[in-house]
Amino acid sequence: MDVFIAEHLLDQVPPRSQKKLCMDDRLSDLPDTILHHIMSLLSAQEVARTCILSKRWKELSASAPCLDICVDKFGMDRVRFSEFVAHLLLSRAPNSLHTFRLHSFAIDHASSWINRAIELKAQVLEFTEYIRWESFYLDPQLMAFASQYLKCLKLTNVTLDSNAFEPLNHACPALENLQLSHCFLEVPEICSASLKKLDIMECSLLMNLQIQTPRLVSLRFRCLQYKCSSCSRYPVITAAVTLCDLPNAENIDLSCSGRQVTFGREIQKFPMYGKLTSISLGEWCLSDKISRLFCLLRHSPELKELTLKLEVERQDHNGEDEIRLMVGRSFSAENLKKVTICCAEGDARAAMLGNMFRANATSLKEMHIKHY
Amino acid sequence: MAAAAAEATTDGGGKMIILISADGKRFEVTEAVASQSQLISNMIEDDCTENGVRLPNVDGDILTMVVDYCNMHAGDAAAAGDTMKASSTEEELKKFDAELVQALENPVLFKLILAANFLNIKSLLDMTCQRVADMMSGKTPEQMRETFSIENDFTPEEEAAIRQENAWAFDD
Repeated sequence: MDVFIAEHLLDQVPPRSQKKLCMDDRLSDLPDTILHHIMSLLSAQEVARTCILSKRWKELSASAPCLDICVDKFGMDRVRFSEFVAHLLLSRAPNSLHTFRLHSFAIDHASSWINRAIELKAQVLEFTEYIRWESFYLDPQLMAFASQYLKCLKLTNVTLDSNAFEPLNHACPALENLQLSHCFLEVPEICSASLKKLDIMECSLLMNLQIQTPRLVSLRFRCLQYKCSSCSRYPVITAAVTLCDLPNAENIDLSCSGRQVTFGREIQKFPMYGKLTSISLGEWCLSDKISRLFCLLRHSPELKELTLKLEVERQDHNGEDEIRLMVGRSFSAENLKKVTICCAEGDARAAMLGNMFRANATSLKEMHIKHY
Repeated sequence: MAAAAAEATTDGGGKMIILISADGKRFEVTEAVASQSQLISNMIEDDCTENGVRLPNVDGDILTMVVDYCNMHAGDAAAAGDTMKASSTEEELKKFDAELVQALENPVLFKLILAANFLNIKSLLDMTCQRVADMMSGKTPEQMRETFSIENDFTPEEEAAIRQENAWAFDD
């Protein structure tokens, strides 16, 4: 064959409408997949209104794979918003929903709407409760996360108890990406066997949490900064996090301050974080005579990049004297190439820790000390 | 018709390949530029681009735009690791993209969408689809029909019934 002809791929594009030769009606000439892609860039109201355009658009509208529904677009009118969402979910063609984004404001029905989206086999589900309002309680009586289809779940400003969370651990075999932001978590354990990416951002833990997710590749754990605990509506919560073996984790960010993170070993034979190449740690890793840091280094043989974020207002037990006593310890970090220490200006601990890494990390190439 | 040029390499590095439009226009581009198209990238991997790639459903004028776009964006991937370089060209790219889609008449825009879809160039597809979405946004159904010459194939009775049935969607 002289020239490779990409003609066999032509069947991706349906033939132009035969009956109509009006040359400027090309939008309707685009295939359904592209029109659906365009619709995914519109708000749910705009999508719903296309049902009136023509017969084809009526079908397209009912089967639009992405629904983006935001209470802001209703001028925060909760009655009109509720009516819209309820009708919209009822009008859906079966097996068509892929992505469901809902931004609600103090509406109890939201639990049932989420449940409906799960029944409609949504693969991507995002729910945000109006951030200035109080946390929305996801009621396990009204909804269950159990789904074979759910791949990505993002929740913002919700309260999740163990009953609501439990199905995410055991009844969502496709779940790969979980992001919890500004949530209250009364959850003892995250142990999904399929999860690859977990982000826990600015959440409050109402009980100790254990993370044991064998396929996890990326973990980010960032906590609320209680700069002024008296002005917070909620008490400072100091529940601990236990990180079990994460054999597939490549990136871990635990640079949260004020949170105790411990490591729970499951399998004695292997290093706990055998594939870990990049980690960020907070002040907490210096406590107990820097034992957490040493433990982590010992169990992360492939670690290449380490970032240490020290607090501006340091805790007494992590003082210079304690650090000075411990930095003479030797450890191995064969693959560690880059260390960054972020601290307040004049924090003498940074230089001590820097020297400690220089003395032990045999292939260290870059060492940065950054001031806030 | 195997072109000798197809085997040539440039000083900038990278093997050259030839793209041939439906109307026989030939475009010589580096593999790096062409492989922004997932379709062509796959062909390169399968080693079937040596004698040129014929694209029988992309016209020469549309392919010119696609090649311009890909040339302009070829630096993207290469500069990803080099933040200084990336930031200096980011503004230019944004301007180039904005001017490209703003200037297009509807029929050309739709042809470009089809080409981006066929060649599987995600960023170009997203950008052109976003342009259509922006044009739809904020318009009444009547204005949408007019802008995009959408034929209303409902009878007046049917349309009234649908509007009543879906009053919740039109309640403003």
